[in-house]
Amino acid sequence: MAWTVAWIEDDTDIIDPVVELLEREGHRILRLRSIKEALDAVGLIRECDLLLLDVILPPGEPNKEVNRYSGVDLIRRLREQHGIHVPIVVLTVVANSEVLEQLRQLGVRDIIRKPVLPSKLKERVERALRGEQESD
Amino acid sequence: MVESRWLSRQEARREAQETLLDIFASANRLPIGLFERREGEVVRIASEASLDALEEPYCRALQSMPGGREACMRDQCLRAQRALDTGQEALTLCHAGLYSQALPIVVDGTARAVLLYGEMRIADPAYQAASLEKHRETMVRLGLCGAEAQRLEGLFHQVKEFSPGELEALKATLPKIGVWLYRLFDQEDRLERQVERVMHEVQTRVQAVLANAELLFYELPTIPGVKPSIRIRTNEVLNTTLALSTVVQNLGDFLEDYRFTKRPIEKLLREARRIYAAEAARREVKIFIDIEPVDGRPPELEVSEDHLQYAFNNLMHNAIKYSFRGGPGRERFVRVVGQPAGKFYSITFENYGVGILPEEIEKGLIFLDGYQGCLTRGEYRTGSGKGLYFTKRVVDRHGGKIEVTSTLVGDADRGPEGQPHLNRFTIYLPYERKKEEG
Repeated sequence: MAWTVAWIEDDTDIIDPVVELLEREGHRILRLRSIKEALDAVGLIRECDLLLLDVILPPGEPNKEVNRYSGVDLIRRLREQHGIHVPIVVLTVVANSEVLEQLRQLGVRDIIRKPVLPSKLKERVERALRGEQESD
Repeated sequence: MVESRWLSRQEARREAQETLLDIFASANRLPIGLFERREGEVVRIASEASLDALEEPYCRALQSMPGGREACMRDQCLRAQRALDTGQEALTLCHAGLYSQALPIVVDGTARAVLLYGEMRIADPAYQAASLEKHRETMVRLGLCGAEAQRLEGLFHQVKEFSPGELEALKATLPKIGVWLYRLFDQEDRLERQVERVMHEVQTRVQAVLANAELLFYELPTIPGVKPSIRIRTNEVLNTTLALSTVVQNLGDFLEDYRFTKRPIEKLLREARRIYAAEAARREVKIFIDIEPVDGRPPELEVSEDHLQYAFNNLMHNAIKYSFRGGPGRERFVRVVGQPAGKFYSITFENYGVGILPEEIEKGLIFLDGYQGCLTRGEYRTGSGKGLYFTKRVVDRHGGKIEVTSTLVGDADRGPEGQPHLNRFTIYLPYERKKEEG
């Protein structure tokens, strides 16, 4: 079954080959590169099957200060201010335990550490889409 | 003997703070607390033990009354907040009539925390009058009279007395130690941020290479006329990048996000073999995997897949890296054997090569952060010293255990690669996790 994922990631080197693989299989990827782009696309994100993002994201606006773990704040805003409740998967290099705890509290379905094979990423996204229960 | 165990950064910070406070408390027989501002509120973050041990019977009696402990804590935080706001040291009088010294720890012009020590009376009439007045106000506020009030007044007069001179002497070194403690924490924070930034860059690049390598690997067979050697090379780039990913993860902070599900473990072992197949081939070391079924079916265990994959990768890589080179007339191999072992399923990685000393096994040195084996020194094999350290953490978190043996075999004379040992790393993993293993 084909699905649509909103992917917020500023590094196109990472996205390009994975998107190519996924789109070839009929899936659709909404590519967003910054906090601003994500907030501008709230309506589109709401329609997606899943949100995939890093926790370190650029603001996307000049002279705009954001927290180092801006992705965490973004998830909170999307959940609390915009009522977006699509499943969320985080793909990141961050292993800071405080950040992980915040992500868990925000109900993030899976946290995948970079680097990851595209095939493995696809498997995890599909697992998250199925809502497979995993115990922490 | 001081025992060391792995501490998170927060735990290490807390332990350093408590040690500082305990040294002060035991040297001066005075309770002490450290206060920091957290999210707009002032909280006491350490010294629970020293405070409890040295608490005056007078304070204990007041705190045992309904709401007494909360009132005392609120009062301490208020006094600490005043010192944090002003950045000035001050002699403070508590709500029950005892004095404490508030010493701000000022680092580069900013008050970072406050040390509050005391619960004492001061042997000077000018101070005693105010002290006694506060004590009596407290008795009235609590509605205490008669025998109970007399008992508390008796306890109040038993509180330790200090002269102003003694108090001055106590101020000499403590804030300086505090300043250095905070400077060290700051330095550590800066380093962590730097490492994290570098790791982010490295992992991002490795991610890009990995993604492209896999895409290429799947795409090549669809292109007519591609030489088989190109496909082999592409496969090698992919697997080397996967191996690099494990190295990169060894260098970074360890992702402690365990997610347990039932998984077939043979798949993970075969993936580890795939990743290191090229390196094994270069060393002419064969890899055998023999997994015994459980009740006629491939074994499935409740595991955190990424973490266990990572542990298997490290064990597989070590077994290959520390194997003696194979060649004509000297067959070398890494054997991985899985079999039921009571309530556990055991997986043994066995190789023939560089050994481990008995004391390194007995004392668990090989699992220490950054440790490198004695017999590997001077060899061309190098590692980060992180692989086994993280592997043990993964196994522990699964409620399992690791056993290690290293036996000198064959000719005891030192050959070109050293004395040969048969090494066995056996992991025991439970079929299902107990809930309390959290």
